[in-house]
This record gives sequence, structure tokens and C-alpha cells, in this order.
Amino acid sequence: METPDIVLEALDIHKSFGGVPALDGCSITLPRGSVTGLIGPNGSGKSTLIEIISGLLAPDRGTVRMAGTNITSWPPYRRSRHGLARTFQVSRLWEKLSVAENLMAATPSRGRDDLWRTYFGRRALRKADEADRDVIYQTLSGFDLWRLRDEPAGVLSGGQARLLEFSRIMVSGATVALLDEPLAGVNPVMADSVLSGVRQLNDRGITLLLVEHNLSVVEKLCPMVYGMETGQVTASGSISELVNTQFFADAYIGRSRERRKS
Amino acid sequence: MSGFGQALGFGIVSAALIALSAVAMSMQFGVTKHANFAHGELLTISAFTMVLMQKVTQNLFLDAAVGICVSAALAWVINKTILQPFRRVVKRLIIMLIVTASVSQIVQSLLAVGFGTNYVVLSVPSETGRHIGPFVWTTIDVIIIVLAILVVALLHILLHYTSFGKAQRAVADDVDLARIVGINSGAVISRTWLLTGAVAGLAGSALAVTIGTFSNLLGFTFLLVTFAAVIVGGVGKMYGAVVGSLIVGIVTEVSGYYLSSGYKQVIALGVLIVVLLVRPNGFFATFVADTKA
Repeated sequence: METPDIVLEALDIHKSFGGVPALDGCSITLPRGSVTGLIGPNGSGKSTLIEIISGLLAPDRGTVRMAGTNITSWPPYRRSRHGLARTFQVSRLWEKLSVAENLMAATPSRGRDDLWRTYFGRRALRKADEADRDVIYQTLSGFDLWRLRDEPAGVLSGGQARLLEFSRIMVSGATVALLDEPLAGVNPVMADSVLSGVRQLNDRGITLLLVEHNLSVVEKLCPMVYGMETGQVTASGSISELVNTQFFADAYIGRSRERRKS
Repeated sequence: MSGFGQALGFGIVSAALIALSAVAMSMQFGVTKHANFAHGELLTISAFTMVLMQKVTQNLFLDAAVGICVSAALAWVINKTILQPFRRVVKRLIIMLIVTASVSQIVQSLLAVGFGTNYVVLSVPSETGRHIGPFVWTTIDVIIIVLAILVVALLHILLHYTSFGKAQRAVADDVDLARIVGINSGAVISRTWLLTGAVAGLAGSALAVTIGTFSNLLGFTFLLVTFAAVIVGGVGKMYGAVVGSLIVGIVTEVSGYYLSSGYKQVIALGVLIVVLLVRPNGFFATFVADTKA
């Protein structure tokens, strides 16, 4: 193939809130197996883009495609079953469920929230459950959460919560994951574990979109970066390429400084 | 003492009836996060279905089974046609309360159009109570108590050991997260309503069989007692609802032994007020705080 295999693309996305445009013709593509960065000042539309790709918000215009399939009108749960996962800026876990249960609720042997199969397919379900359990335990060991498996997820630290979110992506069988500021709320001591967690996900062949403010982190992890300003992608390339562009001058040195002062 | 024992026995039957209704409400509240003022009508519709079914068959179990199905279907339809569209556009829970209160009035009025506002009669074979320990219970009483225990046990298994239960708890805890990990939250909510309707329908049938004559306000009157039990136990917690039902049921019946039975509702709400004064979040409030910490 001449063109790289595209796992996820968002094309010409428009979205405004009460007449104020948050996204104004924004497009990104994620090649299979890549870790792509998404940077830009606050309010540039990064989070809105993530919400739209994951299906929690509907775009006014534009297309979201996963491996060639148009998923723009799909509800979030269907995208998830198709292999799209995400994390939130503030880790979201079922705090009352145990660490292991958090993963059980995210395993892919679907159709199991089906009431009828719950009653009439017990034996098949138990087998599926056991297979899931093996995967879950392996994943928990991989992310160093094994000893916490029976604790309620609400007791986890910021970094551990992040690793549990990564475990959730791992057991879900996702092919693409959107990581919205994975280092937010993480103690610096845990930052390295979280970053190696990101690499573990990518080593498993999961394509990643990483929204992150810390540019040295982005530089380490992402060979390819999109820069967003006022709802549009205005720059793309590696961090070292972006450093010399107008985007960088505007977004990180010029305008955002001025905005901070005001 | 035998009079007290008898009153206690009635209290337990009454608690079983309340528990059926309260457990259904508690489960629904846990998942949808808003109270349902039309909950009583789910009981009423089941009771009236039984009255209609008696024209076809005198088998009370069969009548009740149809009543339960109709009530489950009504709950499902109300959610699909009214609550779900509203939930999509309004975020404020107070609006949902008003919507459910309106549904309650509509169902009541429709029943009044069909049956009038007078009492209807469900013919139940007359039966004298037998002494079982200190209690005097009829066969129907015993069946209701056993059913209540069974339903609570089944719901416990459903919530904790099945994937539907896990999905339900996931949706109750964080609906956006549930959707993101691939749980069809709409379907889970739909089925929760179906189940709520079925259990509430069972409560309605049991209530109808126990009291025999009732009007279109049967469930609406029972709604207050159900609320009292659910709130006393701590909103959204199934075991809270069970304990709340026991407290409200037993206190009202036993007090009825000493006072006139006309005070039952007053006592039930009195219990509610006293409990809320002492424990503003219900009996099981600290339990939740513990698991969250």
C-alpha cells in the first residue's frame, strides 16, 4: 500500500456552542500503530474533538471514520465495541466497584448485558467469564495493580487510577485509544509508570491519540504531532519541526502569554 | 401478648408488601437517579388487570402473572415514550419529577374513565388465619412473605453475580463511563424499568389479593408508604429499602394495635420524619460513606 493504513480519522469537524465555534473544520488522521500527539493552548478545541470522536458529543458537521467505516452517528457504546477507547482528564472509574470488577465491566465478550442471555446462557457465560478473568489478572499484574485487585477503585491514587484506566483499555480489546492528558492528577513519582503504561498500550498495537500539555513528554512519545488553535489544526509534524513554526510562536509564546496576562 | 403477636404478624406481612414495592423503586432510583411519582400506578395497573383477568380465569396466580406482565410493559412503555425523550433534552431532575407526577395523574384518570372512581372487587377465596408460632397468617400471607424474600434474594443475585447486574451498577455509578466502555446504557435503563415494573406489579397483585377491594388510588396511596420505607432505609440501596420496609411495616401495624388503625399513614410518615431528623440520609448513609472513602 502506498498510503499508510489509517485506523481513525476525523474530517472537517465543525461544532459550536451557542453560536461560538469550538471546532471550525478540524481534521486529524491516525495511522495504525502510531502514537500521535495533540497539542494546543486551552480552549483550542482539543477536548471537544475528543468528545466528538468518542461519541459523547455530536458534531454539527463533519465525519468520523474508523478503519474506513463511517461512525459519525454511532452511539458511544457501539464505537467502544468497534474498538475505540478513551480516558478522561480526571480519571473516571467505578469507585464503588473493585479494581478487578472495573475491568470485568469492560471486557469484550459482549451481549452479556443482555438480560435473557444472563438467565439462559449461564454455562457459556461462565466459560467466557473465566477466559476474561485470566486476561484481567494478567493485565493487572502487567500494570502492577494485582495486589489491589479487590480494593474499591475509589481508594486508588491518581497514578494508579490512570493505570487502571489503561488496564481497562487493554482488556477491552480496543484498537484505538484517546488519552486526554494522562498525566493530569498524577503524582510526579508515578509519572514514569504512567508513561511506560502508555508505551505498553502502544506495544500491544493500540493506536494512540495523546492530548498533553507537557511538551517534553509529547516529544518523547509522539513522532507526529498536531497543533490546534481556535478550533483548527494549524500545524503538524514532529515537535522539533513544530518548534520553528508560526503555530508555536502564536500558541505557546505570543498569544497565550498575552491571554494569560489579561 | 397474643394480640401483640398478631399485630407483629400483620406488620411482617405489611412489611413484605412494602418491601416488594420499595425494592423496585430503590433499584429504579439507583439507575435513573430520579424519583418516579408514577410508581404507585404500576401497582394499581397490576391490581386492575387482575380484576379484569378474573372474568377469564379464577386462578389468582395466573391473574397475578398477567398483572405483572402488564405492569412491566407499562413501565417499559412509559420509559420509552415519555421519560427517555425527556431525559435527552432536560438535565434537571426536578423536571423528571414533574413528568412522572403527570404520568401518575394520567394513568389514574384513564383508570377512572374505564372503571369509575368507586371501589372494584377482586374475589379472593375467604380463608381463616392459622397460628404459626405467635403469628396468625393466612396462606396468602405466607405466600407474600415468601415471595418478598425470594424477590430480594433474586435481585441480590441479579445485581451482584450477573453481567446485567454489573452493567446496571456501572450505569448507576457513572453513565458516561459505562457508555464509553461499551455498555448500552439505554438498553440497561430500559430493562431496569421492565424489571421495576414487574416487581412493582407483583407488589400490586399481592396488595390487591390482601385487601380485595380498592379504587384507582390504590397505588397512589401506597406510594407514600413506599417512599417512607425507601427514604428511611437510605435512597437507592436495596437492603436499605428492605430494612426501611420492615421498620415502617411493623411500626404501623403494631401501633395500629394500640391506636386506631386510621393513624397508620400518620405513623408511617412520623417514622420517616423521626428517622430523617436523626439520620438525614437514612439508616445506611454511613455505609456508603465507608465504601467511598
